[in-house]
Amino acid sequence: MPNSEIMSREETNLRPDQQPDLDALSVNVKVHAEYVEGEDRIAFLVEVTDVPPSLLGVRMRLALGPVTVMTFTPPARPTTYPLRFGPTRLDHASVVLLTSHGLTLRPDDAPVETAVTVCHGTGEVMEAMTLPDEDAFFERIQLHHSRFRDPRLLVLGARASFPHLTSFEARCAALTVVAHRLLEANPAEPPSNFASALADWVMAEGDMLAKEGAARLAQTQQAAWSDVRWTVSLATVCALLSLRRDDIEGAHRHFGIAADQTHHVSVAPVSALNLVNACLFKGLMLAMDGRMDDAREHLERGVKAFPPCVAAQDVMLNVWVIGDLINVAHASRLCFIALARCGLLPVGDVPKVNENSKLELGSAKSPVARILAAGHARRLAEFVVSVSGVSPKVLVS
Amino acid sequence: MISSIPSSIEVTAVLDEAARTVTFSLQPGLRLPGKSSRQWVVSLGGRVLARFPADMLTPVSAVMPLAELYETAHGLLEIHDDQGKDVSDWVQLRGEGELFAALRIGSAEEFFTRLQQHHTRFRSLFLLELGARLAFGSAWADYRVRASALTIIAHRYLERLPGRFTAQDEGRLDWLMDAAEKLLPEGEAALLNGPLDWEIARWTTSLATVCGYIALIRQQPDRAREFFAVHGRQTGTVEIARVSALNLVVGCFMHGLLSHLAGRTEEARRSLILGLETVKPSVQAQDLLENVWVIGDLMNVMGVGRQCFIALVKLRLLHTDPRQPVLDAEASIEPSAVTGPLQKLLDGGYVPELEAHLLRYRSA
Repeated sequence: MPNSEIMSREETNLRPDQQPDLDALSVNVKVHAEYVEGEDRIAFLVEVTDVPPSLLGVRMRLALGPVTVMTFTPPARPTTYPLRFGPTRLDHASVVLLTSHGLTLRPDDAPVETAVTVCHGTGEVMEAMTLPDEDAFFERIQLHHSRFRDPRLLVLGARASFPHLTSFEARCAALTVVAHRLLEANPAEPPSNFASALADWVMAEGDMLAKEGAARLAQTQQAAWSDVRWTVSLATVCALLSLRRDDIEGAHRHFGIAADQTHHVSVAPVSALNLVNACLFKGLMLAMDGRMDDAREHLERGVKAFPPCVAAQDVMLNVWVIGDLINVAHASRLCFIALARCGLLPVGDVPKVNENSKLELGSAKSPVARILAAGHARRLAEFVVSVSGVSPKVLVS
Repeated sequence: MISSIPSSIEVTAVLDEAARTVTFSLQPGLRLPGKSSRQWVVSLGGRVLARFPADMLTPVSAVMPLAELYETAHGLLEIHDDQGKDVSDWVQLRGEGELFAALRIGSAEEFFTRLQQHHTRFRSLFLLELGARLAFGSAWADYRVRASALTIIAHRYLERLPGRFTAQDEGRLDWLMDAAEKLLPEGEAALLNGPLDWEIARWTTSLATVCGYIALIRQQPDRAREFFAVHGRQTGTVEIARVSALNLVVGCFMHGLLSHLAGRTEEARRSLILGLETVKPSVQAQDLLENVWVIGDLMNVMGVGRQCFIALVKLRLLHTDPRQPVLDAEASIEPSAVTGPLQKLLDGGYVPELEAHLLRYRSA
């Protein structure tokens, strides 16, 4: 045994015979967690099926990361099992925001380092916090048909899994899932402290990851499907969150990252709508800054992206494929109208749009119009109103 | 006796489409010395408009029912004396106004400008129909003019829905459909044997489409099916005839529906699949930066393609894995999503068998 471990053992208040017993106890402790009906609080219940002699009568501390879930003291003498303790309750928000979600057990007077992991959890809350691998992560947090129904569990699971996820796509997916939940909230209402803290985290990690994805894609001739799909998804939600946080530069950057992947659409047709929308919004933001050549290039890219989107899809697969393509076509059409409204179409004899064609962002399948109408990103909102021919209220109708 | 006779007569026409009449005014022009003992007869397309003394001083007017004008064999203004001798060497007849412009159309270019192209054509629906009917029988009319002429006429009847046709309409529609059935094989043969000509393709598809609907209105579903069968044979032309994309996909959808109604399930499946498969080449054929309507049109194409898919599933023509859903449980064929008059035909009670058939498979 290395010296350092002997040292640490000597420094604890744990008697030598208690350490193996603690390991044994942790196997016999089962933690059940569930949401309290009608509240954003999690109730924890502990069931103990056996207590080794050295820990009888010893007050135990069960912790989730650095936070105490409960303390409990088994009776001093052998008794009938199981023993039940709890419930104790923790706020969903404070649980989600923990940086570690490991469930550990130690005698109350022993230092943190002596704590052992409790592996036996029941209930979906425990499942969300202890997803064993990336397959389980995708199944329970990301894939539409198999993931948790309660959106709180998606956020909790994504946040708890994030430190353990190693692949680029899983890390992007975790942030994207959380961002989507944040974007579902009404943009007209100020975010809670919890939502703000979560958004800070998503943006900090998302900035790095989206850049990483863009850098990887910029270097490759044959892009991997998952790199394209997740770079684009993450950049899109980061751009939308930026708008909600009145961070126009952030939206610029992230819509730009997404729009720059448009030529990869045949590799990731699932990203088609995000790509064309990114071209539309990036184009509008460039026009807002007076960078008209760049604006034209982005908006034309959004128009021209539609045929390759169609070419990349199998329309015989199911009805939703063609439904998605109709949405993409609609976004491409908005790019065309934006070209016209920003004065970026070549002047010619033949009309190219109806004179009264309005840039109705509200008809796009994107929350941007709703975010702008709620009063966010004012500079962009004012620009959109000035070129669109519709008032901000109408933007969302 | 020497008197003075007009050297020219200006004929103007005022259409009253509500009263179904046209009023002609004959206005004498500059007068020259000449014999005036005669009666002159001015006719249009072989029908007498007016008789008057050769030395007339004041304008003469004449009223003709539109139906009579419609039956004229040609659009020529003529002037004879009471002996039946052509006197146009002495007196120039000048027809002024849109009616005469329609009657005088004498080239394919003029035909497409005044009767077909949206921004430049006559506003009067009667003139469009009259001009098209005369052009159809003209010596200068090639296949695309004749097919386009019949299409223009058919549109006039489709635009009148919901409404019932008179016996006179029915007679004209009999003529139209017979003419179309004779003409379409000519276009299809040209496309099969000759170099691909986008205008021949475009007008073949357009004519088959409108005739398919008219056959349906006239309770002739088998005849309609034959017209819509043209589309399935012509989907390959979408690459050259981009404007036909929507008609081609709609035609495949209609053929699929009508084939299924007739119990011809294999043909129904083939047509519906073909309609859906035509979506891709329709998109690839287009230059999206041309104008905003290109994308709008493609959105309609995809909307109909989507209906082809829904019909395949709802009519049980597609073998699917029950574990892999391909359609929302509550989805059903939506005739209103099929660009064209289908929904109007259903609402107007023109196609009761088709309506019952759709209803039967609604919750299938």
